[in-house]
Amino acid sequence: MLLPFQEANLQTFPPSNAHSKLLGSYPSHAGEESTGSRPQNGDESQGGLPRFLRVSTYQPYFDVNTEDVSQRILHSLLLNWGEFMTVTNHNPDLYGPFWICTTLIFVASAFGNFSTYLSNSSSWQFDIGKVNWAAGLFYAYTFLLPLLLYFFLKYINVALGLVQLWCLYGYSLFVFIPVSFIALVPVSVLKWVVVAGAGLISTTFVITSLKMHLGSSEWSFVVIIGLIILQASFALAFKILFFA
Amino acid sequence: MSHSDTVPLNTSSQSDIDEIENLLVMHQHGPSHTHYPGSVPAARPSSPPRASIPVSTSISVPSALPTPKTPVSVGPIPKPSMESPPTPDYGAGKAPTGFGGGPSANTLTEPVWLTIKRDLIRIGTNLRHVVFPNPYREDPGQALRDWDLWGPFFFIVFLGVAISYSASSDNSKVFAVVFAVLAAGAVILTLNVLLLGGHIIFFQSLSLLGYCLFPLDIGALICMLNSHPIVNGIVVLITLAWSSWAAYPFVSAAVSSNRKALAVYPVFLLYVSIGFFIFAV
Repeated sequence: MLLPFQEANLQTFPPSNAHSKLLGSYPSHAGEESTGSRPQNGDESQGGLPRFLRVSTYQPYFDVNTEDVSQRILHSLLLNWGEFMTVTNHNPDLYGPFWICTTLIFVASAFGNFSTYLSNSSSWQFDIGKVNWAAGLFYAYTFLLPLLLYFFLKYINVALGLVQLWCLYGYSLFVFIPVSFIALVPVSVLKWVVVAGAGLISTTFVITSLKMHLGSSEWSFVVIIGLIILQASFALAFKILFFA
Repeated sequence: MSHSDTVPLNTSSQSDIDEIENLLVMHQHGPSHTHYPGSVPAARPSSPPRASIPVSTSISVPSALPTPKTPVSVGPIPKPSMESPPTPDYGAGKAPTGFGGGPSANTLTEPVWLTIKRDLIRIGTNLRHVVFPNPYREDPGQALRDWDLWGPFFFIVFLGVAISYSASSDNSKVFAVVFAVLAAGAVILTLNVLLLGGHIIFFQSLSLLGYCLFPLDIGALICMLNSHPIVNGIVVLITLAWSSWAAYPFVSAAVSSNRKALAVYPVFLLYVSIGFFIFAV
């Protein structure tokens, strides 16, 4: 039984009627006028910048409060069996994915360096390459992979929004942050176990959230297997690059 | 050479032409002709409207405040004792000239040292308002009335140099990463507040986040000169807390109260990561 998806404009990125959400009592409507960054405040009727470059186009994706974000993070950790998608159906946010990803870049590179320091403190130097690898890997994983998945799902006629996929993948990475703390302990077996556990949790989160929307065609099985493989290889890359 | 033919030129070049004309006029007519450039009617259009910071009109007295406009900027030659305050529309056209308002000075004909000194004084003033513990610390909404980007630029470059100096290998890569993180981080943090529905001015926020790096600069300098890890760690922690303390009121005042943590957390993340670079590299 497929959950009815609201073909909301928020699912298309960028939304075509962003202003309809901003009209009404939305506080950011005033915020748009005070932005000095875009030279559009000279004349309202002109509209200086194209729509996709304005801040106001993307504000609907950041319409979350602190407790919304923490609730979504808890969903990703506790695997509430698909509730995540219903929660974010009407209000997928991009704040969570972006900042979880950025935090993870810092945490992984910092603690990865710290763990190599703990392994051999005599001849150690800070490896700045870890930061570059972290940035490349995490941003590509969080933002490119859902894009490809979105196109593939469109091909097999599954109605899932792009922003919702971004939201899902972004929050699924959260579990790697506490795991990085634990993986500092310089015991090799513990590192493997802990990273494998994180991979398992994030994979389960993604699969259970997607499963009820995929239907039961043969393609859905392929998609699930493919996603499991991708997530597992991500966890493997995480372990090897940062906590070797 | 009349000023009434308003050929629509670029703002700065029209004002340059005005200034050169006035200098020629003054030279021709000699000292008897009291023709101050300040009394020329503004044939040139006023500078493009930027988001103006509430500037009180008392600041329109000329030599009071510095303005580090680019070297082609012109304005009335500051003669405070002899000249009456500028005519109202001239002053109104001058006030929102970005870089925190205030009349722009004639940087073409004054000594270079004077220009630099003015900028340094402005940086010092802004530092005092933003960073230092000050019982008369201004309301965060008015924090950097006179914002500029020279201070942040200098602090970011110094921080990159200090961190990459003490790196044992890959110095240029370290500098690149630190510079990119700081510069992109300031922009992204400002965008973050804007996207969450906050009310800030883009360049003012960039400027403020740059000034709040000053304590981390001090920490980086100390860590560069000293190599004892525990002392370094304590210094980094103290300067990190100081930077966060300086930046917090501004950012938290800009968003609504139920999103405060969402806006403040990335600032904290940026300063912690820079502190970690200072300590570990």
